[in-house]
Amino acid sequence: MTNAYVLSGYLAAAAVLVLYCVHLRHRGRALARALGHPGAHPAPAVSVSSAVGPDDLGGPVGPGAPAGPGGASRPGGASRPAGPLERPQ
Amino acid sequence: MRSPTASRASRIVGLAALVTTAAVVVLGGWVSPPDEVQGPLVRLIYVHPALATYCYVGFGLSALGSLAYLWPRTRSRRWDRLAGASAEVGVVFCVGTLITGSIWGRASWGVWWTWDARLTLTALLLAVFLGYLALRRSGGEPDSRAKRCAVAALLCFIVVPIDHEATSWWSTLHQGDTIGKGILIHGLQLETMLLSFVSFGLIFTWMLLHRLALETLEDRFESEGVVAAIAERRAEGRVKAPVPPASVSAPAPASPPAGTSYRGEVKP
Repeated sequence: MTNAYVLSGYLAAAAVLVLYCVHLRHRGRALARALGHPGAHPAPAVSVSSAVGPDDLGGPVGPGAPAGPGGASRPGGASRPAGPLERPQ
Repeated sequence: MRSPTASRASRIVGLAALVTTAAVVVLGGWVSPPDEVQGPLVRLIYVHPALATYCYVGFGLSALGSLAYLWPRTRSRRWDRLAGASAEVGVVFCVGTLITGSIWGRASWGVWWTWDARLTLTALLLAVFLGYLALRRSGGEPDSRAKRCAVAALLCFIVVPIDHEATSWWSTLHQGDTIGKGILIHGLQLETMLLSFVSFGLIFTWMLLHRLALETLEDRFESEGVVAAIAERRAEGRVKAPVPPASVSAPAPASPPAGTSYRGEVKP
C-alpha cells in the first residue's frame, strides 16, 4: 500500500467508522447512567423537573393561564402548574 | 465497564467483523495485484463500493421499517426503531462513501469534487437523511412523531434508486458497476472485493445491533424520564407548599388520590 491516496482512503473510512463507534459507546454509557443500570457510574444530581411540560402535570392551560418561571411556556398561555403561592386569588 | 448496548450476538458479529476487516486490509492493501489502468488506486475498490452498498442497505432498511410501521397490521415501535437506527448507520456509511470517493476522484480525475450526477445525488441522499434524523429528534407525541418520520423516510428513499441508476441514466464521470450486469474484475481482486462486502456487512450489522439497543434505551429514558420528572415535581410541590391556616384542622392529603390529576393545589 504505497500510494498516499489509497492509504488516505483506508484511514478515512476507518476514522469515520471508529468515530461513530465511540459516539455509540459514549451515548450508551450516558443513557445507562441516566437509567441507573447496574455497573454504571452514578450520574450527577441534575434536576429534570424543568424539562417537564405543563400538560404532564395538569397545570393551567389556556389564554388566561399565568406564565410561570419554572415551566415551559407554550403557545396558548400554558405554564407550569400554579402552586399554593401562585394560586389566583 | 461492559457496554450497555452489547449482546452476545453483537460480540460474535463484532469479532467476525474484526477478523474479516483485517483480512481485507492485508489482501486489498498488499497482496492483490494493481490494476492495468488505475495502478494501485484500484485498492480503493475494496473500501468505497462496500461503503456505498451498505449506505443503500441502511436507507433501504429504514424505508422497510417505516413501511411496516405505517402498515396497520404490523405497526409496532420496533419497526420505528429499526427505521431510525438503520438510517443513522446508513448516514455514517454515506459519509464514508463520499470521503473515500472524493479521495479516489482527486487521484483519478484531479478534483476532490465535481457536480457529477452520481456524486450530486449521493450528497443529496446524505442531506435528505440528515433531515430525516433531525425530524426524529423533533418533539411531540411518540406515535405521531413516528408516523411523520415513517412518511419522511419513504420520501427520502426515492433518491436511492435514482442515485444507483445515475451512471446508466446519465453520462457521468463516475464509472459504472464493477459487479452488476457483468463482472469486470477477476481472480484475487474479485475475491478480495467480495470479502470486503462480507466485512463491511458485518460492520454494518454490528453497528445496527448497537444502535437498535441504544434506540431501546432512548425510548426507556424518554418514558421513564417523564415519570421521574413528574414525581420530582410532585415532591417539590409537597415540600415547598405552605400549609394555609384553614387546612390546619383539615390537612391536605400527602398525595393526590389515585386516578386524579395533580394540579399543585391545596384545598382549604
